[in-house]
Amino acid sequence: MEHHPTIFQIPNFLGALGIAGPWVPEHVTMAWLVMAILVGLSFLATRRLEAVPGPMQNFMEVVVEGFGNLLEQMIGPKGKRYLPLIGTAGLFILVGNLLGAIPGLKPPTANLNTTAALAITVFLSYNYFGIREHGIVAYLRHFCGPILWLAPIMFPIEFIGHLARPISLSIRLFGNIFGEESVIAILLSLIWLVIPYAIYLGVMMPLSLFTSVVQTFIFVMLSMVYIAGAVGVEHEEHH
Amino acid sequence: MKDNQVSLWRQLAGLSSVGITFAASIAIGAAVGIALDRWLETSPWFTIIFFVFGVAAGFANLVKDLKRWGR
Repeated sequence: MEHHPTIFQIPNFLGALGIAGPWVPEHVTMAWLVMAILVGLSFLATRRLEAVPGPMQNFMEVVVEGFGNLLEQMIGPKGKRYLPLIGTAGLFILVGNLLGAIPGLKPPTANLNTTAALAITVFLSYNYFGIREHGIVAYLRHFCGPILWLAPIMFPIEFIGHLARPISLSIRLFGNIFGEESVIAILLSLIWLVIPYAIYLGVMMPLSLFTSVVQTFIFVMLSMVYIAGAVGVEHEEHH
Repeated sequence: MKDNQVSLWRQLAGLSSVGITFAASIAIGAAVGIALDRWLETSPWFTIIFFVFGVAAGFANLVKDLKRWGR
């Protein structure tokens, strides 16, 4: 599979940080593009806040309300506290995934580094939220299980189980988007056969839009489940 | 969104992570064990112990996830 460069190529000005090559890596460029899109949208939406919102403000209000309601349903009445983290991650992933549908652009989430960064952020955050809610001793005691003499065995088991979460988060998102991107790239490289073009338009395009949304949803949902588990450990135990 | 829709999505998210979490737990256990053995030069003891921990963590997660979401 040959390499398709993206439209945006930024000369590498980060050599001092130890990043090699003449260009900034393209998943980083694409991540910046996503940030620029999100910042631009937010700016347009909040430039003139009105009581009777215009179309842009209306749209963003619906999106933010949606995330807020979801959080309250999943975590409880205090769920809106986690809106900044979850909303940002969700919008970033959604816009990033959907970039793959535009020719010449690549989703930043098709690179394991981007998804790992997101997953590690969620991992550290939910542990921090848990510690903030319960205090460090009570939070760590939850790792040790109910029986005291089993604690030396339970602690590593629980610890490994928690470490597996960011890995599964990042690899699922990366694998889905990367696989879909690869299939599309191969189909597009065979486009002179005409039939692949029909497959691309008829099957892969709707499928990729569908996976983009579903993967975003799954990432957001799992982050909320993890936060809910860390914040409300006592209630979660006796389910 | 309605409540049953939310719980459906939640179930989907939870169940979609069952397989990867199971594999990742074993891999992390083995990796931690190998790292400890390299560091303390006690091969093969920590590898064996943490591999077993990893498998146990994998199954513990599997049972927990299936209990919560497999209904």
